[in-house]
Amino acid sequence: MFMSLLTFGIYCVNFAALREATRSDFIREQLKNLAQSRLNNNSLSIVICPGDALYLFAQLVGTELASLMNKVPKFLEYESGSNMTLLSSDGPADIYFCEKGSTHIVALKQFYYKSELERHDVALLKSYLDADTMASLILPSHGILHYFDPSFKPIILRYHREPGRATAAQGVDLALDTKATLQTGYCPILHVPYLYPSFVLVGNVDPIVLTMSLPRSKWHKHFIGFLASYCSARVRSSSFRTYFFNHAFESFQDKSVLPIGNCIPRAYREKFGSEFLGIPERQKVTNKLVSAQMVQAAVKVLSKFKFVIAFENAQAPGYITEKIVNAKLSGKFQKSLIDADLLKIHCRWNSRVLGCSRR
Amino acid sequence: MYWGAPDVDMYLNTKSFIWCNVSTSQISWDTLFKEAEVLHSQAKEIDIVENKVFQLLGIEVFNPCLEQIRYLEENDDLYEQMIMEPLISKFEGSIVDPMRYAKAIKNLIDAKESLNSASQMD
Repeated sequence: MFMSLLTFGIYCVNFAALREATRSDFIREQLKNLAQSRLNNNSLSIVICPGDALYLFAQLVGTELASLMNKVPKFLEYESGSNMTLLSSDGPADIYFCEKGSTHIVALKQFYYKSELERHDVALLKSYLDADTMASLILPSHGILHYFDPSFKPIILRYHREPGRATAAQGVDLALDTKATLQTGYCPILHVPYLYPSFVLVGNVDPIVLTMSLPRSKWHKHFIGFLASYCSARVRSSSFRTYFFNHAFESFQDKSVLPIGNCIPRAYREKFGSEFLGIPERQKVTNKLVSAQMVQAAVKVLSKFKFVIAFENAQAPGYITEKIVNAKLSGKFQKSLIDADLLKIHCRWNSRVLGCSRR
Repeated sequence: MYWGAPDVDMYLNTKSFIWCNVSTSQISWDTLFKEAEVLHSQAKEIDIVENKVFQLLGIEVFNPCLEQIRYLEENDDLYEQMIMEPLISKFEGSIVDPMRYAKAIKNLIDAKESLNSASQMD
C-alpha cells in the first residue's frame, strides 16, 4: 500500500563503492538497495511547518494515521530557510503538513537525499554517470551531494485557516479547509473546522468535559464581552458582529457590555472613546497567531463575563472557529468532570477554578 | 452567543449556547465594501457598512438573541443548564476526533497507491 509509494523513493549514492565503480549502473543498483531499506522502515515521518494550530492538529492526526498504517509516527518541525528537516537521515518525510504560505517552500525544495560525498568525488562522479543521471543531481555547494528521484513525491497536506481558500491550492495532495462546502479546486478538499486548536490546546481530553457546573453569575465581574482582534469592513461580514455589539450595548445600557480585543465598535467608541479598557490580557488575546498563550489569555479574560459574543468574521458552512470553544472553556469546571492534567492547565489560567488549591 | 456557520447544529450541540441564527445571505458584502470605499472620506468604512446592514436586515433580527440573554439573566437555573450542556456530546467521529481526519488522509494515500500501481501495470 503506502509502502509501494516508497519504492519511488529517494536514493543515495554509496560513495565508498562508487570509487571502485566504473559504470553508472552500479550506482543505480545502490539506489535500489536504499529504496528497499526504506520499505523496511517502520516509521511514518511527518514534517510539520510552523504554526501552533497546525502543529497540534498534525500531531494528533499524524499519530492516528500512523496507527492506521501500523507505523510509528516520527515528527519533524520544518524551520523556514533550513533544509535539515527535509534532509533527515531517512531521506525525505512521508507526509508534509503545511499551512498556506509554507507549502510552496516545501514544494520548491524538491525532495532529495543527502549523501556524504566529498567535493573531489564529484569530479569522479561526473565521469561515471550518464547525462540523465547527472541531471537529477544537485551539485554540492558545501561538499554534500544531493540526489533525488523526481518520481518520488511525498503526501503534501495544506491547511487553510480562513474559509474557502482551498481552491488556490496547487501542487498539494489534499487541502484542509475550514469551510465545509466543497469547491472546485486543484486537489481534494477536506473540511477541518478552525475550532480544532482550542480543543487540542487543552490536552488529550474528551470534549464532553467542556461542561461547566457553577452558576457563573457568582463570579462574573462583567455582563457581555466581545473579543475580536480587528474591526474591518472589508473582512467579509465582520461588520455584522460589530453591528450586533452596538445593538447589545444600547440595549443593556445599565450593564457592562465591553469590547476586549483591538476592535472597539462604534457605540462604545462614541461613549467612552478608544482608550485601553484596563484589561491586562488585552494585548495577548489580540495576537493574530493562534497560540497556546493566546487561547489561555482569551479564556482567562472571557471568564470575567457572564455572556460572550462569539461571532465569526464570516458566515460560511462549517466555518466554526475557536471563539465558541474559548467561550465555553472560560467557564468554571467541575473537578469530577475533568482529568488531573486538564485541571492543572486550567489552574494556571485561572486559580478560581473549582478544585485548584489557592496558593 | 454564537453567530456564523449556518450549519453549526451539524457539528455542535446548540443547546450549549445561544445561537443567533440570523442569515445574511441577502447581503452582498462585496457591493457594500465598494460603496463604503467610495464614501470613505465621509465616515469610517465599517460604520457605513454597519448602516447598510441595518437598512437591509433591520435591528429586529437580533431581538430573539437579546431576549434569550434577558431570559437567562433572570433564570439562573436555565443559565446553568445551558452552561452545563457539552459543546460536543459525542467525541467519536466528531469534528474534534483526529481519527476522522486520519481516515480521510489514509483513503487519499490508498487512492494514490492504486493510481501508481495502475500506471506501473500500463
